[in-house]
Amino acid sequence: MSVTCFTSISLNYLAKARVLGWSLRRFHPDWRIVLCVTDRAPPGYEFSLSGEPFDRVIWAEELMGEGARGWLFKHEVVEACTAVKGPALKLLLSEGAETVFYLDPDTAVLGSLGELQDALLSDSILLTPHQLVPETSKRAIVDNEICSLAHGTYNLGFIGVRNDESGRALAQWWSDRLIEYCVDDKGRGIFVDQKWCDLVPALFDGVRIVRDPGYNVASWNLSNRKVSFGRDGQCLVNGVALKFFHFTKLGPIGDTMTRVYAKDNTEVYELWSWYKRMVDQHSVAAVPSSWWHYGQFSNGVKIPRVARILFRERQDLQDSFADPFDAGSHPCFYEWLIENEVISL
Amino acid sequence: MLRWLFKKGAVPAPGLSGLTLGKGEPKVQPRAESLLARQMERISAANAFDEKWYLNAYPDVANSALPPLVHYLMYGWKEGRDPSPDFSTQYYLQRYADVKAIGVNPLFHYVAIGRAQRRSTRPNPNEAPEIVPRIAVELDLDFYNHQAATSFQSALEAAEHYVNSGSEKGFDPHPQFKSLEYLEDNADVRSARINPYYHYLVAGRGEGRLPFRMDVPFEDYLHQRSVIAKKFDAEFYLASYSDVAKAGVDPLHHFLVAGWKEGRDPCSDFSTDFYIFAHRDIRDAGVNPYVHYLTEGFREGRVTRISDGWVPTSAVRAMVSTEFDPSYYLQCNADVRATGEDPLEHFLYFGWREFRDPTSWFSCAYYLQANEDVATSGLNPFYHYIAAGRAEGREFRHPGGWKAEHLQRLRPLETEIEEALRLQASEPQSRDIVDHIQAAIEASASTSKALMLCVSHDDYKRSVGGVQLCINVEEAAALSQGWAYLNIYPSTPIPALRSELDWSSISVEVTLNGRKLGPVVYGDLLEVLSGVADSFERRFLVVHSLLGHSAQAIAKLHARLMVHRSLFWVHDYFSLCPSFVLLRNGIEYCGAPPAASTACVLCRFGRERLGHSEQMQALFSEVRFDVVAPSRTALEVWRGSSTLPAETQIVLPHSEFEDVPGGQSEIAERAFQINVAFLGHPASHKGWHTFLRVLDDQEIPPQFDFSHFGAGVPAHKRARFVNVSVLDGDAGAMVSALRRERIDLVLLWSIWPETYSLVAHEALAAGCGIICNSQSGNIARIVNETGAGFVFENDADLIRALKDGTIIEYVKGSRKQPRPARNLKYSQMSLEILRGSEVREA
Repeated sequence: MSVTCFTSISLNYLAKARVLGWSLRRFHPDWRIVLCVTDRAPPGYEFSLSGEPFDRVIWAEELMGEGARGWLFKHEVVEACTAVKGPALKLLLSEGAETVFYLDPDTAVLGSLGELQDALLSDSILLTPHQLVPETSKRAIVDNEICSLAHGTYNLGFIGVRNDESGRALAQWWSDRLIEYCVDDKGRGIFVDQKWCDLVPALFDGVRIVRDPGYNVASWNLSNRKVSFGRDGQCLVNGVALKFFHFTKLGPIGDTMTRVYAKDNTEVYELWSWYKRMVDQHSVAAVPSSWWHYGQFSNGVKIPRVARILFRERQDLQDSFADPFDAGSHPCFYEWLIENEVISL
Repeated sequence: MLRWLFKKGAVPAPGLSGLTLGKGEPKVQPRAESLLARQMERISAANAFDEKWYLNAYPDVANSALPPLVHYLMYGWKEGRDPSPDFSTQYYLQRYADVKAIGVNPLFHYVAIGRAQRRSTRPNPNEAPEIVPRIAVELDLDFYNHQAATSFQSALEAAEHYVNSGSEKGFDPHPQFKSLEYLEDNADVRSARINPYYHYLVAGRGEGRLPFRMDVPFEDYLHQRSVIAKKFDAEFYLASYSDVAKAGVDPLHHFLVAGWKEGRDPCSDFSTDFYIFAHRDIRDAGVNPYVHYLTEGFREGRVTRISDGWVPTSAVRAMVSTEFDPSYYLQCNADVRATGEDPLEHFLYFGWREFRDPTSWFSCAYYLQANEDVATSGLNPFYHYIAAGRAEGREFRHPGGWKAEHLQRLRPLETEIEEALRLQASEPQSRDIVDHIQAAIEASASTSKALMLCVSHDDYKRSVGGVQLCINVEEAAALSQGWAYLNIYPSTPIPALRSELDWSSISVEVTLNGRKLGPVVYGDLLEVLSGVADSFERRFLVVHSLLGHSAQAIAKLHARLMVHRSLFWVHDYFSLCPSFVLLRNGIEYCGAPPAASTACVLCRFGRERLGHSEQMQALFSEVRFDVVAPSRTALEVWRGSSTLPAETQIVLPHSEFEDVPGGQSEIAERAFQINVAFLGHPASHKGWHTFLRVLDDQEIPPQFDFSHFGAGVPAHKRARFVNVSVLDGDAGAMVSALRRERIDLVLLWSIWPETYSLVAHEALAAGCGIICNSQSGNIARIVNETGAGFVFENDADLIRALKDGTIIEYVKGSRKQPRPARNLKYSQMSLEILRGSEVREA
């Protein structure tokens, strides 16, 4: 059964996606790797597949079709990049992909994912939970379990889908919800693409919760997972092979959370040390770390969150301004925001 | 110039009858009576006529068929033409009426008489009447008198001296003006022969020329000037430095070229001295500190002058000093050691800001990183910990310990190699050295039957370490056998193999029979060795270490030398991986798993290992090595992870014990104190961090007395330092020192499988027990075999045994036995194998 694996980024995450891509190629050179980009390249940089580990790039504006710019305007970068996961999954299945895996760009594959491929011979949907065993310390309960209650039981840094009835139904449902409701609004019980998937085991058949501790290892489950190396050089988690590690929150926050739960498990720091070196090595100097094309109006002014919310909530604004990024025409949304004192000059 | 006379077809000029041509080689023999010939002779001898210049200046002469000098002497001077740019015919005649009066050729006059009389040959721009007074206005009389070692009474007098001769002698009229540098840097002034200071005063200064040479290029100077110009407080500068005001120099210019180096401040907000003192990198870089601050320092939030926040309060000083470890601080900070600064003061002012640690147990970087409130408070983190953090239960170092901290500092191996290669000596190889090496080896061939080519990684005459000791011993054995011993080690040390395709131009240092001969490239060495190979009856290759070498080059040397037998020593595991102690990422023993494994992918040495393995494979396939390991353990590890072919596999220990009669128990009279020593270099892979952990554990019973035996500097305030160096020529120095200091147990906590460990054998020879871990290879094996000491699984087991009386009981028991008195006798290393070995065709 052929496998298509995709990830979703804005271009400032390209280095991470490359690390993921190359790490995946090491174990699965025959898998098709697709990069979904919700961005446009900054001036002076042109993205090309040549020399990249990806087989194909899908640009969000093409994926979302007509009305893409209005839709993109409603979202912050994380919301937009996670929202396109649904439509992209649907597209790949509709094009005939037999199985599709999604992996977050900040994951890296460090062992064979063959067992997941095999699992999809019998099941339709694979999900990896944040935690597999109950926490015992108060801090871990707050940091991990309560956090999962707020953000979702399963980590959507990974999902595996077979192209069968159940898989296609999931893709259709997830895509619909994400187009409409992929926002960070925890008050309403929504957290981007992830919280939705708490419903998946109830809504669809053939769902397998992957309970192998070698998948999706991250700071949110390190309290109960110990990383080591076998004499054969294999990386192990609780004695079984590590498959992929989720290098979430690269930077001081990630370091702190890792320290709190990895403690003296220095092999975890070795993983991070490697990951940081790799990201450095694959970074693209021409793309600033804060770059996101859809983060600003056409005149370069940063789009405030309030403007996105207004646009998202008010149909009249959506009807009036087909391209809300446009700041050069008259009338335009930018002008409206100034007139209504949402933006001050 | 006289060659014109012999130009084919040259028409002899009238009056040349005095020239005769001799037989054979043409010779010029001017007759004394011929004025023209005499003039030509004198002028030519004085080199006063510039034939080329003359032809250039007067093209018609070239067509005249007359030799240029003849033309000048007969017609040119009368036409007012000059014989060279240095001599003005018209000026000379006008200036010196006596010459004009007698109608003599002025150049001839100058050569014959004028020069001796110091007559001038062209207009002197410095004769203008305004020059001396102008200079006198600015001249610093005291300064000038001091240089000239005279006492001119007036500036005018001194200026006159300066104009007439002082400037030529290199005297300077002012401390801020360098005459010679000004002339050297300003070609136009030089060629116009204008007095340099006069030029500077009336023109150069206004044109932005510099009164003396700067240590930065002029473009940089201009850039620096533009950076500083807006912020520089000229008024402040002149008010603060009266000498500059008095000198009348541009204050900004003064600051840029001299002031900052003299510690002068550009404005009241910036202390040059403090900035240099506080920021070591600026001091090391030698850059203008104010320029640095304005371009980078301000963005980095660097402090520009001492302020309250920088001065440690007496409370901070008092509290920090109670737990500060000056030995540890100095051991870790060679720069502080070198400058002789007080370690506590350094830490209080700068060290903590640069994340230098006050003790072995506290990490400033970690504490500030993990405690944002402390970081933003600007407090000394160690002070905060002692005063508050400890009671609050804050962590004082990374929970992953030294390993995690090591990983935070880890840089790609490739970067380290590149940097090492960038620093390599770029001087061209000297042919003399190659000849010298060739001659030395040839000379050696006349007295030696065999040649041993020894390949190692560093200067074994200077470095302290087991491998170096082995090579010294081996060399002595070879020489006593009457063999020639040729050692090569890389001129540029790098932590890997050299991988260049063009290996021939890589340089190695050559030592022959203990005498250093110098650097030579592999290519030249190859030629030298092929030339002398036949002169030796037997030729051997002994590889002790390939670190920094080209494996390809070694294979070529082997082939060209037509080596009879080759030995490869397993002193470490460099043949398996560039991480020669097989520590993954420098922290954990890996056992050399397959190079394609995840462990290797994640390891800093992983990528390098791929090419490394290929090169090793090629070398071992080409050279049929006998692989020699100093212990069974080493051979087992090597065999377990290596696919390299070996002709034979040999275990040859470096040493054996020799009993010395008279060993006795001498401990009974002493108070019961247990002496535990760490031996050797304080390196992570030797278990130094475990020793620190023991030293820092406050619950270790007070009976234990810890010391550190090594060659270097003290490293911890709780470990007495005993300086022991085998380089002093006393191979038994460690054994004697251990006996003298009555050491009961030594901590040899290597975290990789040691291949032999001479210190472990020295410890046993001295009658000490050994504390090691199960990962330590041959150390653990000999402890298990002899029962002398302990093999623990991990740090926790060791600390438990120190606390629960296990070790105390062991020492009590061992002291009841007479302390064995043994010496260590070294083997002859490779000679043990090669001596008498059959000659085999290479």
